[in-house]
Amino acid sequence: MIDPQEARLKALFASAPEAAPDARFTAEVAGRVRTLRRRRRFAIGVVWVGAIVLLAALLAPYAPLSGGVEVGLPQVSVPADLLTVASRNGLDLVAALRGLPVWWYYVLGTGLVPLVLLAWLVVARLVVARRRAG
Amino acid sequence: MSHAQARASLSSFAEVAVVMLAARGDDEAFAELVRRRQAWLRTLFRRLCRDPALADDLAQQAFLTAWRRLPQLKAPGAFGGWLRSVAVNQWLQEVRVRGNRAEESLAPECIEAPVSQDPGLAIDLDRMLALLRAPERTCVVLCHAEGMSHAEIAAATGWPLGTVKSHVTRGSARLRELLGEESA
Repeated sequence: MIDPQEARLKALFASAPEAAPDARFTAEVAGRVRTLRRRRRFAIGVVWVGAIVLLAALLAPYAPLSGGVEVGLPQVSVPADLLTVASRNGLDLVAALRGLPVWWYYVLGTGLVPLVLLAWLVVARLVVARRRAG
Repeated sequence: MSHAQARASLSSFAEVAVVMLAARGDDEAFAELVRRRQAWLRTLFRRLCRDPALADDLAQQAFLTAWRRLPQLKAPGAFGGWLRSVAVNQWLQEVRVRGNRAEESLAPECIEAPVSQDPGLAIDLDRMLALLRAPERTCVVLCHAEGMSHAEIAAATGWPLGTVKSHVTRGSARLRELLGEESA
């Protein structure tokens, strides 16, 4: 059985009006959604490009010279498969690697690469988490 | 199809269809959901937090959270209840972050007068709600305004069922007492 006092409260709430619809509110939310979408695309793009470049750098010293393309120093080459993947994603990997400053080739040719890759992933994860938080 | 035509056709769609489109990344469909649900959500937040500006800000945050999580919604037909649980979480997070500051945010006389067929009644109700403590107000609003059962409130807030029952009972009694005093 419904308590009459509770029913009275429910009726009171039901008779109270809703806030008036506000077109500006809808526009503001739509604007923030567009901004979030742009940021998300940018973050995904940055992570993809960074991951591809670093993966290329990581694999380059071990790739057979015959199967890849040399980009600078003789020991730095990019496997053909990786080039295909990169070009499918709209990235000219050879040009990107050739455009790197000379000191990068020394970084790529040493054991610093895994460390740089790890740091990159941590930073990218932090940036994405921070953007998601708001 | 032009922007205006797309909007016009979306407004005639059932909500389930609009939710499915929005979940696939259609921003126009999501804007349509905001148009349909904003009055209800802003009202809910106004009752919960007493500050119209903060309520609108929280409603925006809740819609943005909903936009992010929409692809994870398994039952598009349950969008309303799902959005309400997103809103309740948003509110509880705000209460946790603000702590006591949320309690002292506004004096009851600062409540904005809503558009109403019976403005006096609405202002009285909002003022009386403002005098309840945040947990009691949350439970009373969810129970009486949203028609949620005690178990549903417990699930939405993460509070024990007994606590929810006692908040609803105490809050309702206090509200009746205040409304009685007001009409006397």
